[in-house]
Amino acid sequence: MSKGYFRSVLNSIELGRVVRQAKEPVLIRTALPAVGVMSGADFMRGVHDFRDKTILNEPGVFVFSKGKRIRNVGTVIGEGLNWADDPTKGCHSTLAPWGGLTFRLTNVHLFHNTVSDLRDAIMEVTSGMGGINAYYSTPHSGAAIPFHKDPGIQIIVQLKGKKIWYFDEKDLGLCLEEGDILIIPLVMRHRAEAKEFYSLHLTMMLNPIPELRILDMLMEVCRDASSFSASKDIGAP
Amino acid sequence: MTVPSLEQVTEAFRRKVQRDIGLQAGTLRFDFGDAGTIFIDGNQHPNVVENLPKNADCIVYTTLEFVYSCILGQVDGIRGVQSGHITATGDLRQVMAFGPAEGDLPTTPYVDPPGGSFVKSNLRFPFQAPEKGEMAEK
Repeated sequence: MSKGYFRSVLNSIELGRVVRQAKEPVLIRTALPAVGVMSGADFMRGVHDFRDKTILNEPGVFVFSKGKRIRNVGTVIGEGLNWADDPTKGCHSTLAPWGGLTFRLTNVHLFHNTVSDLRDAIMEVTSGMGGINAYYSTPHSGAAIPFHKDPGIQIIVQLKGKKIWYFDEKDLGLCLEEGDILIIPLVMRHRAEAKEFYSLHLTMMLNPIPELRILDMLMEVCRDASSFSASKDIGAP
Repeated sequence: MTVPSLEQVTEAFRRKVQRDIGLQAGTLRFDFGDAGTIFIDGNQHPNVVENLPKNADCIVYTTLEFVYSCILGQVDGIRGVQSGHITATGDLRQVMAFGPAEGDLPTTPYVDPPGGSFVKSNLRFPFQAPEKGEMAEK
């Protein structure tokens, strides 16, 4: 999967327009073939490589249980996790025994090529900027973070399993399945739970860049200027 | 396709403010350096577009050559912003609303992508319990 492929998929679902106009959460069903974006084994590799890192703007791992950040990976798992195990087992087989936990792998785009391409494509299509985190939740993990607001537009891509999203403290939930994309508008209160399922998803917090929006508009106008001029030349006797 | 002239871009802006949603209020000026300037008055409807170096609520500094390079794909817009090839000062709120009439989003929160879904799914809102064995990781 390349950046060009992601760009064409995101343009086909008009992600840029949805991000600009959405005032309520928008769920786009099976918008993206999630197989091949990031596997459970990739997630486990990231958890292993960055398990002791918690620095802002760098890859790192955080662990949550029922709405609270508890300890870093090394402390939680300790010697119970055999890192020599076959990584193709994936995160469900490896982390599920530590039930009731959510693992957040931050700044995935800095070390995973396909996720980096996806991020670049989202930025181009939406004229925004942001980083991508990955979340793995074991079954019955509850909400990793209670109801909260984020200072950017949230774009969620469900990779594996299922997760239920709630908004503004209503009981109504949206169930995301593999391949779904959810857009949460700016500063809308939300939380998510895996319920009986496991879940692996990507989250990008998007900050609109005014200069990019202006550039998009200028490019549209200049294309019109050139094509209008060309059509007049063709039509000239 | 060649780099459009200031006159061509000015005419294109005049067509745009007639066709689409122009500035709702305030003033905007594009400073293209030696090529000249385009001033848009959003306090009049339809907007008035002129080549006058007036003070504006928001001023955008760039060049037609840079915009043309972005159209051709020779330059990455994000890198261009980061390196200062396009900058903006003043009140950007009006500019952010300056755009084409794109139509309304669907009122339901569920949208099927154009061309059909990639994967058939029989699990729909409201939330349903999975079938036995469905939790196994593929």
